[in-house]
Amino acid sequence: MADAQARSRWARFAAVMAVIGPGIITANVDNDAGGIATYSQAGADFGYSLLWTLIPITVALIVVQEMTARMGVVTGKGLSDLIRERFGVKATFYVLLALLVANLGNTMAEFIGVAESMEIFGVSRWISVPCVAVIVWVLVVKGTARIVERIFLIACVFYVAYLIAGFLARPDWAEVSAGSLKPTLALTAPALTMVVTLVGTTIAPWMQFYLQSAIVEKGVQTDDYALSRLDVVVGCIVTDVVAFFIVLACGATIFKAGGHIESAKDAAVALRPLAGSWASALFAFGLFNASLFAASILPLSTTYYVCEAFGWESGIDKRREDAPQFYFLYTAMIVVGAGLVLLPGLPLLKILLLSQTANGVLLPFILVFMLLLAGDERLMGRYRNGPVLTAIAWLVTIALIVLTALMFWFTLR
Amino acid sequence: MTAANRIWYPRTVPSQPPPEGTFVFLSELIGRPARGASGERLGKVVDFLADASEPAYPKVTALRVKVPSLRGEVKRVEWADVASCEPSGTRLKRGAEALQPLKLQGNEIPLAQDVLDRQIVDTDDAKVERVNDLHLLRARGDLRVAHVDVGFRGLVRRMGWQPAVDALLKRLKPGSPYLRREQFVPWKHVQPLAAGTSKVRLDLARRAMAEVHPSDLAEILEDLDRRERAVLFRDLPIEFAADALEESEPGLQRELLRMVEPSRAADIVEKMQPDDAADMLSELPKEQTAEILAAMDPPDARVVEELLTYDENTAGRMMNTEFLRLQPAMTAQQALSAVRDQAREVAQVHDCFVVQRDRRLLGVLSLRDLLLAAPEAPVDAIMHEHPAPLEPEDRAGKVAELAAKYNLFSLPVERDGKLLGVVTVDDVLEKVLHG
Repeated sequence: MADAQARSRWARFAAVMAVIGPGIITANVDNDAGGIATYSQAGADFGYSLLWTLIPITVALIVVQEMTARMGVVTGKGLSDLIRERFGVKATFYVLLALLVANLGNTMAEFIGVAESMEIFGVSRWISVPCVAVIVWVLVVKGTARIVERIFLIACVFYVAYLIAGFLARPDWAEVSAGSLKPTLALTAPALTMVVTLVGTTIAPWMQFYLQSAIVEKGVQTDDYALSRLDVVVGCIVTDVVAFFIVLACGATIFKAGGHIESAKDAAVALRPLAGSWASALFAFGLFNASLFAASILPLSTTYYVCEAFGWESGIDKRREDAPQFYFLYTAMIVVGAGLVLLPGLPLLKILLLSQTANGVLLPFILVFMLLLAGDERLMGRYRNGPVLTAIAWLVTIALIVLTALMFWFTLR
Repeated sequence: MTAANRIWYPRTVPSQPPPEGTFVFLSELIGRPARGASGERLGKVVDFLADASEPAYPKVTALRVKVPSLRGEVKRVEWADVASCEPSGTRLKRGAEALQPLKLQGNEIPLAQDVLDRQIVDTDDAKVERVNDLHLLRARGDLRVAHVDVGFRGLVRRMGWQPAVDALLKRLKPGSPYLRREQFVPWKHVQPLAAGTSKVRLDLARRAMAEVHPSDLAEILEDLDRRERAVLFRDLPIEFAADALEESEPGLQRELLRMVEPSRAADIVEKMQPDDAADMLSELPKEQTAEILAAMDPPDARVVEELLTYDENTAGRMMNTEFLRLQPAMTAQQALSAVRDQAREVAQVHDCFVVQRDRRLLGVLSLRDLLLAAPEAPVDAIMHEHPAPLEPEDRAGKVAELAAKYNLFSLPVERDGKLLGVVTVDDVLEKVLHG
């Protein structure tokens, strides 16, 4: 009897584990090297003054991710497939081309993160970057990507490092709450660019593609949707709490000391005298963890979307002769992404932030496609977007377009 | 009862010669203006409907025209009302009165909506493909579907880059396969998978689908997206569904069985080998297993339920309960005709088991022993004792070792001297490799 009970509890736990994961993993991959650099920069340059933006960003993130998850559950198809089937070859080509370029930038950002975090521990980038590139390639081609994903679910715990680093920085909590609750925004090119970048790094377009495929892959069906939604919402909140503490740590130290940082590594180094060597080491470790796992997920998932949308054979279970496009694209993403990082004299932080800004600019276009799909009755049936959600989602999209336009206006003026 | 009696149809799909005429691509015709008899612009051609019940070269029966209005209403135009259909535009025989309300008749399939850009199964090559374009044939006033284009050239054409890419390649690499070869799948080998279109095609393509090997069919199901998978699996003939299910991974099996009604799931499971069925059911949630077992024929359900009482990876779970049974008093001749009678129900006919009425195993003999024996020789004189009988609890590893040691094709599973079933090497091999 007790055995049967234990068994059914185990069965229930297994059923929960069969559904959760994609949301939490996606949200945490989101705090990748680009994310950490962006949040550090936001804290170092603007103190607590942009903390408030994380609240509407979180709401928008939840709205968008929920929609993505629902599409995955209801249609059982990836986002690139849906775009291809509904909007045809041309739209798909341009969307995926933009995504490929942005994701190549993001992959570079991950390798920059690897290089910089290891340099804090005294490892040259000429060793760390090629090693990680080879590890990532082998892990995936040897078919252990699923295991990597499971390890990553555990690795998500290490993001606590940033929470501790935030506390070790001893912020002034009164100022923090003022910064988080009182919306202020200077209409200047740097501030607007930072906001677009914050949005772009938090609600990255590739995440929508990744989340939807991860949910499809898990085989989540409509009966389990409530659980899947919880997974997504919890993931979104966790990701932004981590982001909040990174901004906080850098705001309490580097911004207060009037410093300036050029990279996420600078942030970790700058934290040392201001918040102690533990905070600095935790910061660096978190960066390496995030970069490594995002680097193992981004190139693979990008390759999948492209191949599936164009009907090319894809999958690590296919032989190389049978899936030439798949292996070529995948290898090229890693080789180019890691190779460019090693080119001497490249402005790495600029590239890193630029890739996140590119995410922010691309996002509204992806959102328009998503909204059209998620509101389609033939596709979504009774799970299509309701009027309230549609209104909020369009509002987010329009706000993003306005913000991007303002950014370009103030930058180019 | 078992999947072993599956009939493999010979290839008899007639290779009809194509009617004479000229070819045109679907992508060249859609999105073009539709004009009335006097040249007035009525709207834009957005889709073509073809009669899916024709196995090869189905005729286009109607068009869909999007009328310029705020809501972008779509109308139907019968093919009989079309005077000409060219890449430059479509001309009708009448004016706006030819625009009818939207509907689908009979077995019509909207080509742009349900075939273009979607996944299909190429039943000849047993592959899932994405459709880049449709190749249509114009002949004697009809427009017919000839092929679907799944090649790279189709993608380039859809992008509108074909002239440029062709010109470039002709200069750089005139011998390139891109220029010489189109990747077309003849329509008779195309199984579309949009909901509602599959049934009629599946009936037609039944023969074609029968040529797809079960393990290829399982791979096709794996490669498809969930919706298309559901469409294909729901309408597959029961035997094919059972074969494909046997070859699928546990995760996919669970998903496929969830897609169908318990009664259909039960029908499919009944067609499977009982040991494979038990393996599959043991991976399902308890309620789902109970539901399927309850819907099965009681005798079949009992066999599977009994197998389910043994642990995974044991001889008890792997054994077949259908095997060749002989009585000790039979002559070799009688035994051969008994084998002939039973062979249909049995997966493996290499070894025969001589049992008493109380199911006690007396001995074994191979089909070869029977063939070589004198017709009047009694079975109990030819048979010999089995070197390695098993207990139902024996693990797969032990079974494999014994089979290798004594060069056995099959091993009897006994309890208290009673024969319960027979484990064959193919079952063990699978367990040892994947278990």
